[in-house]
Amino acid sequence: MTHKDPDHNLITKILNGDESCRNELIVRHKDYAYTIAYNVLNNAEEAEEVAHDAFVKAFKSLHKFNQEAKFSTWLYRIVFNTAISQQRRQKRKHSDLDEGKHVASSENNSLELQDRQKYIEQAMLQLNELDRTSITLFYFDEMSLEDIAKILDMNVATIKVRLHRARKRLAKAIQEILKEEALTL
Amino acid sequence: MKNISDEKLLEYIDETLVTSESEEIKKLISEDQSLNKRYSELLEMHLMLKEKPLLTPSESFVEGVIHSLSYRRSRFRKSGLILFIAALTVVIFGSIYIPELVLNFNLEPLSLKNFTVEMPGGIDLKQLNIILLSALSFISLILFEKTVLKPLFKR
Repeated sequence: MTHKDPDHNLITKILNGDESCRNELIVRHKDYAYTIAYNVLNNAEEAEEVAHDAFVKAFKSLHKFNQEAKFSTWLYRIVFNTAISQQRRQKRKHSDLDEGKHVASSENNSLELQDRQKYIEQAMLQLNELDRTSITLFYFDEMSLEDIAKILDMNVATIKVRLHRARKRLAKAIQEILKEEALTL
Repeated sequence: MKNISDEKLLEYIDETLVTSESEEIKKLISEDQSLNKRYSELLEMHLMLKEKPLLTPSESFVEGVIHSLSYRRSRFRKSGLILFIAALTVVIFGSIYIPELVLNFNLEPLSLKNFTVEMPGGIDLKQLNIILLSALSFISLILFEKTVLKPLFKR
């Protein structure tokens, strides 16, 4: 039987005792896992801790993973749930941007791009963690609405509506930020 | 003028509309200034999100996860082995000493010579010993399987 999911080969090897493949699986998904956690918690240290715990949980229950499913969807769901639990435990609100603690993987450091990233992050803060996560997942190339629905444990129609609303709100927030920036210049 | 919702505009941006509908919206955007403004705002947001890079955790992240996984496993194996050895010791010592156990009651200092004490006869100590030893042996076997055999065969 052939699987489309490239992770399945690695998972089979890990389950057969080849622990060296764990590295590769972590490297493949660490950025996505960390970004999801960061979108929920909005704190670099906590996000890293959550992503770490989620990977440990995932490896611990890898034998329970249904190999017919997509590994990334399963893993990101663990990350999201762990982040939500962490957030409930902490009950902390981060009002400021946690700038400078995380490293962007893009190598393009032009000021304009950095500014744009700053604006989008500011605008994202105006959304709740669920909308932030659904938007982040939506803009990952491989994430379909079905996959997002599975990760966030919602139905596709709800996700579609939420995404539309969130994107509209985001567009509005960006325009407001840009207006404010123009006024301060 | 046809009213185009933001949802429709987003679908147009996502390129999920059928060609005819897409063409129609394209035409309307070029004709209607307010629609064009709404479209530009949504498109700007869309492009900003598209170029938003993924965040990366610290460089030691992978190492940290691997370390936690190895530590967890060795800790479980270690504590399991200790439990196994403890249970085995109890079984060995129990099997040597418990059957030999004799209860001695010296009633002399209490001057209870005139009293007749009836000991309960319902409990068979020997049988109890066998049950206890069987239970301990069973627990030892489970621990042996979990801590020694399972990891060995997995490897």
